[in-house]
Amino acid sequence: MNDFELEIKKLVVKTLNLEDITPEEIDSEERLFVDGLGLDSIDALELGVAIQKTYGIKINAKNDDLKEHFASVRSLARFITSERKELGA
Amino acid sequence: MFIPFSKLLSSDRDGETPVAQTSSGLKTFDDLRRETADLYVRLKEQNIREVVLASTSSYAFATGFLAALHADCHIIVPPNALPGMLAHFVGRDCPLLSDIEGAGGAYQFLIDGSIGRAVDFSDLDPARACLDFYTSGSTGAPKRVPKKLSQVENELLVLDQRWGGALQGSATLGTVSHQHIFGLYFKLLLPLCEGRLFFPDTFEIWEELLAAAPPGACLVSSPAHLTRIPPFDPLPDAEKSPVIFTAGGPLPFEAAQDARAKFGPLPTEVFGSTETGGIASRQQKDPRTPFTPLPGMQTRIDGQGLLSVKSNYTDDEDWDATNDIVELLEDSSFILAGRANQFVKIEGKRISLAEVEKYLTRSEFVTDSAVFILKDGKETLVAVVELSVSGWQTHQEIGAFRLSRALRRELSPNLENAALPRRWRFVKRLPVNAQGKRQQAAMNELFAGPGGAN
Repeated sequence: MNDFELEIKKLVVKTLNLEDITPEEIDSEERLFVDGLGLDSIDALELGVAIQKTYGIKINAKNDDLKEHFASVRSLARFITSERKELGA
Repeated sequence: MFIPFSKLLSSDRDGETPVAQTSSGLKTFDDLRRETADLYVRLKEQNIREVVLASTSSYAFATGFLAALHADCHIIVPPNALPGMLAHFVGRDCPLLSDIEGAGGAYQFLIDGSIGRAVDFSDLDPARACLDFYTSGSTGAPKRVPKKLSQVENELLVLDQRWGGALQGSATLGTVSHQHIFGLYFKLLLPLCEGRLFFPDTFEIWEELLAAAPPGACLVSSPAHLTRIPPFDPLPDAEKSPVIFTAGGPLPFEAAQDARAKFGPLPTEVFGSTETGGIASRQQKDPRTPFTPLPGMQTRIDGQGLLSVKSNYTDDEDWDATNDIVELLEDSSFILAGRANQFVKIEGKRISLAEVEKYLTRSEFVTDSAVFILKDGKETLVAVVELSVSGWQTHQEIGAFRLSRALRRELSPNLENAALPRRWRFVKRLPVNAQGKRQQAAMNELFAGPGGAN
């Protein structure tokens, strides 16, 4: 498994206090919201805050398609990686 | 300029006045009048006497609300537009007035933004027109809270008197729904009467709200959102919010300070209920900052400290007892001390535990359930569930976490997010004593350790 994806899974489980599930049990391509993992809008708020705090990136609704970025662990990993590159540049 | 609600459509307000910024464009006062006229004519033609009003867009709600009142329709306002909720009310004699296509089945008037022929509206009679709000009752059925239009109108006048000056010219955006009285008044009716622009969307995500917000906009929010503000840079001084309203439950002190740092002012906490309307407000400079009654609101307590209130918008303009215990100060301001009965509030929403259990037990996976508040540092809604045979099979196939989320999904057509339990335990038998009474201590104990089946 991709290390960074695992790190995000750990962040999801820890931030949202998910019980009865380990980071390893989340599939990288599984949908995070509604069906799939089944997170809801309050989870989305908390996850958004945690990601911005942890990775020092800004989520800007004007430029980004939030729903696509938050679709799965894989899309989140891609999004965070590219945002951090931009910050570093 | 403030126009009383009953005189809005008969007023000479400039037709070009911006009313609502929808995702598809700006709606002016002329648009509002003409779209209302279309709905009004359709309701009149079919001689409709009563409607259920539930919509996604606050602007659609405004046209439906005005059209139904002018057409002499009694209005039912359910607390949400979930299918299970609407089923309580919608029928042949009481169709659904909504912008959600198909939500009312065969009995629906679609609010579709059609433009009708011009109608010469006259003033509404605030003493005669009336509506019913519904809140989640403590027994599992929605509770009816009737209001006369005069009560709505009187309260809006008080809100304008109290905040009109500070809000002058500000647009309003909200994270709360207009189906509840707080959102209806602060996010929709007050801006409409004052001639200020409002955004009809209910913003769930802060980033989307801020992307849409013009500089200096008023925010109408709740503890659920104000405790979850992302690490934004503070707004520049010129863009700061004049007033941030919040209601529905206590706002943690830290969240109040965080909102001030990012958006400008300390949030204005409005204390009240659907039954009494707005009672008092405060800005939390200190966790002990008392609530100051709104203009014209009288307060008194009984021997237990139970608060009663009276104003020109309480029922019959008489004293109305709340469910809150307060410490009343000499200047008639007060400090909240607790709730008098078994109301459960989570994230500022009034939740009926009986109702959550009722829907949970309907699932084929569930034999019996106990839903309660666990005080685990914060207050969390939790469920202990006795699984059926198929429930245990599914538990084995997909695991406890996904089973809990599947159950949340089953509940979601009938319950709001705040009423969906966040922590779950699956058991062979609910802990009960010999008399069949639930053992609360044993149930709390289940949450002490890590999850898993017990």
